[in-house]
Amino acid sequence: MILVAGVGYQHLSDFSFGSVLVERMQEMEWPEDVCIEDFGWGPISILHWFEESPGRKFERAIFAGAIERGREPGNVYTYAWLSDKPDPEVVQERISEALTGVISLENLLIIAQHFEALPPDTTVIELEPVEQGWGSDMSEAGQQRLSETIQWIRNDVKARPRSNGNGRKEVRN
Amino acid sequence: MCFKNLPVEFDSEGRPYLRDDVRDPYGTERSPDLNGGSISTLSRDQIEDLLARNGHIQQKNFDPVTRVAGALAFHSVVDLEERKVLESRSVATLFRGYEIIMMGRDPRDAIYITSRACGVCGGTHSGTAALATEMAIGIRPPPMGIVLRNMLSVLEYLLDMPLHLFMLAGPDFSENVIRKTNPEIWDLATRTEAPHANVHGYATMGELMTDMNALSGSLYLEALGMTRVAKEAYALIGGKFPHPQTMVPGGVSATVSISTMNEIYLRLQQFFDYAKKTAAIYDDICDFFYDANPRYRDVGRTPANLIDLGVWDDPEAYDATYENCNEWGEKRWATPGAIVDGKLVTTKLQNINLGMEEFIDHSFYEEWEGQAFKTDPLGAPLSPHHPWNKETKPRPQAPNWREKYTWSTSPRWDRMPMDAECTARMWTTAAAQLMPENPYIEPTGHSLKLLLPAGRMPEMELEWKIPDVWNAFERDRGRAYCVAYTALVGLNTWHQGMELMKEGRTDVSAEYKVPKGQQLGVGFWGAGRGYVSHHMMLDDGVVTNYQIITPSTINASPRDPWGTPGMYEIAALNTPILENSAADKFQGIDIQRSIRSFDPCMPCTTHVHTDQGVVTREVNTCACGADD
Repeated sequence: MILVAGVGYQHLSDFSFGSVLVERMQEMEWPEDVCIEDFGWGPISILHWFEESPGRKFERAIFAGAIERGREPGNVYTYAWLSDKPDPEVVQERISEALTGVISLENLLIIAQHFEALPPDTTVIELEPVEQGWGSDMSEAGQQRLSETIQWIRNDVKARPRSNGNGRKEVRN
Repeated sequence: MCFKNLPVEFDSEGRPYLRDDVRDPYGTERSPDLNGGSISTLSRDQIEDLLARNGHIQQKNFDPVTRVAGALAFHSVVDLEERKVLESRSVATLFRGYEIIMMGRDPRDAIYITSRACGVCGGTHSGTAALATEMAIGIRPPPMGIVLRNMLSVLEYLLDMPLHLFMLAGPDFSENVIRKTNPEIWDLATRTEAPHANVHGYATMGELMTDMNALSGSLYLEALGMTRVAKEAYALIGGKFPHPQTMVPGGVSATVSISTMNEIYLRLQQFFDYAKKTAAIYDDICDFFYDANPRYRDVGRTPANLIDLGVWDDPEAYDATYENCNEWGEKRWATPGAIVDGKLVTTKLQNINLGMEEFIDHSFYEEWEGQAFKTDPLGAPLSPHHPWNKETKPRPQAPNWREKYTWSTSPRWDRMPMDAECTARMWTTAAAQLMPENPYIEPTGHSLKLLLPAGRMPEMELEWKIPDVWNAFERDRGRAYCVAYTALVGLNTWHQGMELMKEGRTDVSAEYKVPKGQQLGVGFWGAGRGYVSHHMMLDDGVVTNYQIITPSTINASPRDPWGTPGMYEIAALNTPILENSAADKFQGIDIQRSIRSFDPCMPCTTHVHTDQGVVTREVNTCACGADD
């Protein structure tokens, strides 16, 4: 199975990129082995979700959301999530934010990585936001990137061969 | 006497009235009597003079947040030679503005919009909004609707408390932190037998502290699992967590069967043994630190002024009216109350409501003009600073310690800073002895006896005693015992639900219409960490004012019109610096323990000025950076 998950808040213009993306994708036809999920939830709840089936079945995952990193606004960046163990102090900091209700793509990746919940093949798609205020409308560039990103994901899930087996370890609790 | 500072007295029938011999009765010229709990603070000029004369302490401007998510910053100036805190300031860095979002809306939206005020206790805000709406538009939920709401709150608290005790505050007492900040205490811990080893299974305090380590300690990981258990049960009624989908004015919209109740019980009963262990662990931690150094009693010490609105309604008594709020309030599983200097001064919801004022002298808001209501719906006097009269008028500006420096307001009760706490609800309930009779919880006047049923561990009676000192350790100990208290309220609630099912009284909501005209409503409730109120005003079915007070607004408040600091600020000012690390490795662990003991519901950053520079720490996280 391939997990495609969008992370973000609703009604926060370009910061809703991940949420809007999965909303659109869920209205489309996808191969049976592609699971599309809205991960606009606290990372600890998602960690618990990963503990359960169908989380155990995923061989690959694609996470999408908007993150402000000082890059060219309106651009989309993709990269393979690093497999190194994150710094424990950073993990605890992000868990603290997660426990107090913060929804964040990066926090989710760091926390899930620490607890070895991520599939071994994890890709991240980030939009550098243009509009950051309240509102249901994304920027023109953000909207354009939505369609492009969906196409990119479609190509990616078709083109890339499945890895053999899962390889992730169980999450401790 | 209920009020010492507000000129409100009571007639022979107990009805409150405003004294007529006081000019400008709600003016702020007179300084309030703080019941011996006054806090001596240095003025900003004195602090600056001190900083100037001690050239090695630098005055710096710095960004109050280290990360985007930091919603609360805490600043202190510390004298490491004298081992004391000279200045403390609590800064809420984000404006959230739910009061403004609610303006002009249908009151039924409040349940879903205000839920987003918190990412942990969203259900509390949903429920409190439902209560305010019910009072405003006149709906009485059926008993089963009330029982299910009570259960939702129980389950939300059972999620909140373990995560605080073992994932946020717990690591402050872990091996990794104590080895660095107080090696002498770690050494003592390895040699000290744990008094409750037979309950929690740790032979020594050192072993216990090792399992408190962040990320790797088994107590940390167990708490992570327990939050899931509570969430699963919550979702059976609420549909989802933390923002339930089934809360409606007049009850809940969930269909609940015997099977649902059994699913809930299967999860609730897991907390009975967990509660025994949690209380034993925190008893041992608190007593160990007190024995190791009695000055730990001063860490986070504040006057014993606490306030709570009570929670968990009697399904037969709650009628959603303000007229009867004193009666139905006192029938709650947790009794409403105000504690002043350790003494319970009222259990009446009306009195708690009348005494509450919100000041904005040091907050990023403009004063509002006029006073919409001189009295409450029963004719009792209301302050112009009361939430029903307050208007939210944000005015963003640069922080200035002499003037305005935070987005939090200064809620005060009878003009005193209060502590909003889950322990407050145990304290008021223990002291008042009004809670309904039940087989599991017994208030004695000075304690709460909690009879936890057998699970894998045998039946056990715990006793939480009203503490003789109010500090960071007692806040944490109280929260640990509150797991037991909450689980037992859950058990009582579960029995009530089963009984109603047996009687066929399974309606979960009431029909209603939103009336025309002007209506007032207030939701009196509480989050896992304490006091939550929503005050609502409607005009022809539209919200014309909405005011929310949360426990963190109360605790994180800045100085008030009389210069009295808020509770976080007082707690830090009273905290002795007992940390024993080298000056260039100073962590500020004692200040962090004092702030964290309040269970701040915001990601919070501390900044501590020392003669070695500024130490910056996330206060909501553990202090695991201490082991760098």
